[in-house]
Amino acid sequence: MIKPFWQRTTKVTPAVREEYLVRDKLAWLLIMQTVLILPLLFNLPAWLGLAWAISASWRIQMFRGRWSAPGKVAKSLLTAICVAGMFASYSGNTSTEAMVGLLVCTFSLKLLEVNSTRDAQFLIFIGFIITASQLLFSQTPQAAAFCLFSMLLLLSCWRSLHLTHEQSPTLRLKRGGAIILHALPVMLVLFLVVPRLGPLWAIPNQQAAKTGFSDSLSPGDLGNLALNPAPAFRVSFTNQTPPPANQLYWRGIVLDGFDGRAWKMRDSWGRASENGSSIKQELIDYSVILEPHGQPWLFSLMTPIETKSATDSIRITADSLLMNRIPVAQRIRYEVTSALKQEWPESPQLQPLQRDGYTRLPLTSNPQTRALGESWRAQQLSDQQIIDKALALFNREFTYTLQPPLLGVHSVDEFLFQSKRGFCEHFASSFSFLLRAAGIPARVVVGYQGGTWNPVENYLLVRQSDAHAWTEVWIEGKGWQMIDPTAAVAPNRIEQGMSEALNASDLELVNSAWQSSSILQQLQIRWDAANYVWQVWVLNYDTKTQEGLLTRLLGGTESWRLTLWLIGLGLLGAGIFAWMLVRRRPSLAIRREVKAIKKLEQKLEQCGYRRAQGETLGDFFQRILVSAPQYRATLQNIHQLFVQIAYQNQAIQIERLEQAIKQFPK
Amino acid sequence: MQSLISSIIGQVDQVLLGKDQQVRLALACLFAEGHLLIEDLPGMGKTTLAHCLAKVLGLKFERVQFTSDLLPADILGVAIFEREQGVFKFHPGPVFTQVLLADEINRSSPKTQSALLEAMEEGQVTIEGKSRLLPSPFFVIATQNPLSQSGTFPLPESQLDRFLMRISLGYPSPASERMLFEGADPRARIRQMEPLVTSEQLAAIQESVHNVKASDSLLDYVQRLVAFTRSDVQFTYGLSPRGALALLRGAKAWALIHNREYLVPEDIQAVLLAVVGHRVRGRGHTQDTEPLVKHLRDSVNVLG
Amino acid sequence: MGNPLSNWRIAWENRFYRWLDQRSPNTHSITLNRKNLYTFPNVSGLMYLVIIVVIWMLGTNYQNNLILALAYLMISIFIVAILHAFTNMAGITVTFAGAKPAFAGEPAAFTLELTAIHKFGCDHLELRWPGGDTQLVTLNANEPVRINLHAQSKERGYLRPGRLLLQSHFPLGIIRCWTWLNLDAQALIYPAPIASEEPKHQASDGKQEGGSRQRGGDDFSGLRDYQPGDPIKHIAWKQFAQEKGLFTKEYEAFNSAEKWLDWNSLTLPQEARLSGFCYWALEYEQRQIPYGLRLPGITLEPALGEAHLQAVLTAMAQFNLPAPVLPKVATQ
Repeated sequence: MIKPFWQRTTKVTPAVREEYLVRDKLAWLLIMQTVLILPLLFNLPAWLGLAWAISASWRIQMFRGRWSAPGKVAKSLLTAICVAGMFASYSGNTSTEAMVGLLVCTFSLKLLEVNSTRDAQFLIFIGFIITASQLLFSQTPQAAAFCLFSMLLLLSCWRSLHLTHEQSPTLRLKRGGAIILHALPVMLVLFLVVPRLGPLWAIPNQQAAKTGFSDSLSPGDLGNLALNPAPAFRVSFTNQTPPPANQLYWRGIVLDGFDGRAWKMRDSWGRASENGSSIKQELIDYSVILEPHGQPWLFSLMTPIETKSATDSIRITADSLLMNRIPVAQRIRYEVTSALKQEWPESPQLQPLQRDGYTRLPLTSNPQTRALGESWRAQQLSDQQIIDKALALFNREFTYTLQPPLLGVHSVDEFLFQSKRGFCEHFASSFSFLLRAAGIPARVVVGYQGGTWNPVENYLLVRQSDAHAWTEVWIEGKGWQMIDPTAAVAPNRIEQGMSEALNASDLELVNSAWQSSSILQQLQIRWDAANYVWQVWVLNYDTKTQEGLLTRLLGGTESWRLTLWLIGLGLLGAGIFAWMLVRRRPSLAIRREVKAIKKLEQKLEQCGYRRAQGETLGDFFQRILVSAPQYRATLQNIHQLFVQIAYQNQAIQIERLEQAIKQFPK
Repeated sequence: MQSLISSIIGQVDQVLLGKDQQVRLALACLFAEGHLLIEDLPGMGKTTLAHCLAKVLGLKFERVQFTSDLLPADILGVAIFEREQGVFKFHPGPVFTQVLLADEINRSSPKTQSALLEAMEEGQVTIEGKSRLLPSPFFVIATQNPLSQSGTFPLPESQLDRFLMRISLGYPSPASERMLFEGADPRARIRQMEPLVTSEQLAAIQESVHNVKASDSLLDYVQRLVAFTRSDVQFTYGLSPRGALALLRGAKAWALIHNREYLVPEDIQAVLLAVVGHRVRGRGHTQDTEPLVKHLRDSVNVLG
Repeated sequence: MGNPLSNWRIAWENRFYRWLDQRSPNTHSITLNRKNLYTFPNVSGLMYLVIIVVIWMLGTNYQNNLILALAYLMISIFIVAILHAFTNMAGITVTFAGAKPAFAGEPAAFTLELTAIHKFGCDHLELRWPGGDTQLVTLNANEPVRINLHAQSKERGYLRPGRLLLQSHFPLGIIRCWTWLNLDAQALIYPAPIASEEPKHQASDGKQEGGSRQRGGDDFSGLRDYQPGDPIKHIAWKQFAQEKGLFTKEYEAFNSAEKWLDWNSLTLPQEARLSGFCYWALEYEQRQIPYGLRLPGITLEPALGEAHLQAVLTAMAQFNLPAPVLPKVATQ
């Protein structure tokens, strides 16, 4: 029976405050969390992955209605396990990794007790920090793309939390993507314009894995590097073209002590080597982006005169080498001006102590070579003649190979007189030894030689496989001169790169690491170019680049100019937004003829006639004609045209109507 | 056809002096195959109008005075037992005609009212389980006394909706009243009148009402009007879709009478009060909806 | 009262509402736009800003450009969220489409029609009268939605529920976009039906209790012998055909007892009297006894039916209101 209306209870909808999460929102949260945590798991201890897996699967079981929510005991237990794990992995250590680990713990455990929108919102907020910490571990373009994808999921998930009606997942992703897309322009401006600050407080040192060569050189060290195609650094030259390949010797370290087997850096015993000033010639400007290699040394051409970097932590040593204050743990960028040639107006002098140091050899090692060197010295040959003789020796009888035989105790002797097959370090090492034996100051320099020119972005890519060792010899009146004994054996190695210098079996070895197919090579070049651009414009975009860019774009970096531009951009953005708002209104689509009549109405309003809302055009014109009969013909024509267009479906007349209204009141 | 329509109007105008608009509305209503409700005091010429229309159009005319004791059978007819033949014979009521003037319809009981209104809606009557078709065209002109008097049963809203238009003749202007005094008796004039159209021609006119075109702009206007009645606070309830259709139909007939094959907003406005007036109700309990319809007409932008 | 602080507050509130009134004049239909919409971050929004600062510090400290870029993206998203929150609500037209009368003390339902013209409609829209319950609505583009929003009524007469709050935290829940609309909305509030003694009936209207029968209605009441002069239509032809004789069908209308709710028939204070009448009007309506109302200045003849009941209740609701609040007509 239907109750009379005054007895029916009016149903009042309950207040909506703390609504419980709907299942689909939970599913979104789960997926979002999985994606966000995934890249971090590779960098964190395995037990964290386990903790996450446990809480996620518990949540899934809850989602499926199989398990109930964890009770107090279970929650405390899980928390205890995590705390114990944290202590075990990072006891007393406040490194970045520990911080991220803690965050992942919170993120995982929080999922278990997400009940309301408020909780979910909290989870989203942690999600943002998790996304940021993804970038602590990797900053490649791929990592950035993944980060963007994470943001897309995060935003779609976040928006879904507040959604009150059904929407397909694709549409949700689309709308979430739209938010990011709309945000990108402002982000770009902020990224380019907002000034960078230095580190706010000292961060615990990150240990970077050491790559490349170490600070000593023994036979076979560089041979291993020859198979490693990883980039060591990239160089762009201010004048866009690199110097010829035989000048591309990237000096890294100078090894001046030989212990019978390995060349080592000696302690600094008065390294103020070249006193007196020289005239620097053939200056060349270039900037280097160095991959982190965990060593303090940097690379430069010949004699660096000046160097700049964002952190101002680089100095030029007495040996004309670049040194960073701390080992390079992050990719850094520095600019160098080098002199490819220098002339000495007054002959540079080597202190006797220094001369002694640069000619010192262990007494018992490599007697044969020692004897050879001493015999040359005994022949009263000049320094230059001895050098030529030694190079001729290499040129005549030696083979360049990546697979040298193993050498025994007297490695130089064995190499020079028996195997005669070797790699650059063999040549440099034995050459230096030979010269030292002949009393000529010599030292081994280790660095990189050559590089691959990338024509797409005009920079030189130097790989680990370009690692090289050569010799520097003190020549009276000229100072230290570079001599590369490898060039005497395999000039191709210097001119065209390693693959040209190798024989077939070596090539096979190298090809397994290197791609030789031309299409792949092209792709490789392009990919590396993209990486380079990424590094220059994104990763190493610093205050200096910023200034340069702003000066180029805006004509200066004064604060008034920046403010003006920001206001301008803001207005532009607001304008675009307003335009989008207007454009989006479907119901405001005004018919063309009505638009035209609106123009006419504006004109008539200036004459004092205004159409009432409910007045038809005919009535309106009739009213006008009473007091202004001079418009009779025009208005009748306009009315007729309008009626034809609007009510007789003769859209063709629209031009005539617009024309007539344009000419009104003629 | 147009000359036919104008000669019909001319004829009726000669009898009903100074009532051009009402005559045209009544004709439009007829052409649009709708029924007409006239709200007026007695003696205003309701009967004359109905009679005159029937005569000019060559239609069979019947008049029923509604009273409180009028039974449905009095209108529809009864089956009477014929003793000689021993069978029931159907004696058709006055409803079996072409123009039926239902005078003072609000005086009869709701039962009788609804019997007539069902006949209007269906175009047939069912008596003793047998359906009988009404002649075509079938046109009801009902009159109603607007002053609420005791012992009347005002038509409920659902029944009012069956009438396409509601008009009011009102007092004649002094000039036409003078002519009325001076001229011959209208009844005598009607008697002299000859039918101007055949039933085929009338059917053709009714058919061509459907062919009047309504453009998108015009339909937009109608939709704006309808939406306004549904959202404006002064209306208790808005116009039904049937009401909106009736508005279009009435306007189309109006356009046809004015020799147009397409609708313009003026047509809508001309029939607005007649078609909409009895289908809406204002906030107050006043019966007079004219200010309300005027508010509707003045508030809705014609152009959009 | 007397507390300077509360006086201050009241003065402030009045000023604020006056300012609001200037911004949103009293009409029955309002379209939301930048003039009447306000946006501001809520608590979650402030938390979000804190998260941005944390991420920015992370990026600055580690000199990590990508993390900095992420922080800037988040700032940018914050700005976009403001715009999206605004767009979500802008262009909504709120129309007061009438209110159902209610009895005093009951919540009165105000019918509101909401139309969003934006392509994406409006999501997660909350509506509330001051002190009322919140209702959640989702709007699709160009699809008018009618909702009933309840406001608690206190006394008979006209209920003006005050400013309508519309707000939404969509899309991200960090920006609150809201408006207070001054809709010209009011609902008729009938007196609360309270049982009282039955009003006494005056014998003055000459009709005896128990009702009377009147010939000539349309309810068949029986057959009687045919008398010459009876209308032919009333002859019972069926009986005649069965050769039972000639009978006339008799019809009659039944007039049951009429009840009057007479102002003088109860001796109670005004409101209590009206409440009592209200109770009895409902009672008579349920029992199908015709009843009339006689208040000073108003007389409604006895009748039955929903329309009559409403007329009676309306008359009582409007009776002798302290200060008549007439519906303002939105004409301009």
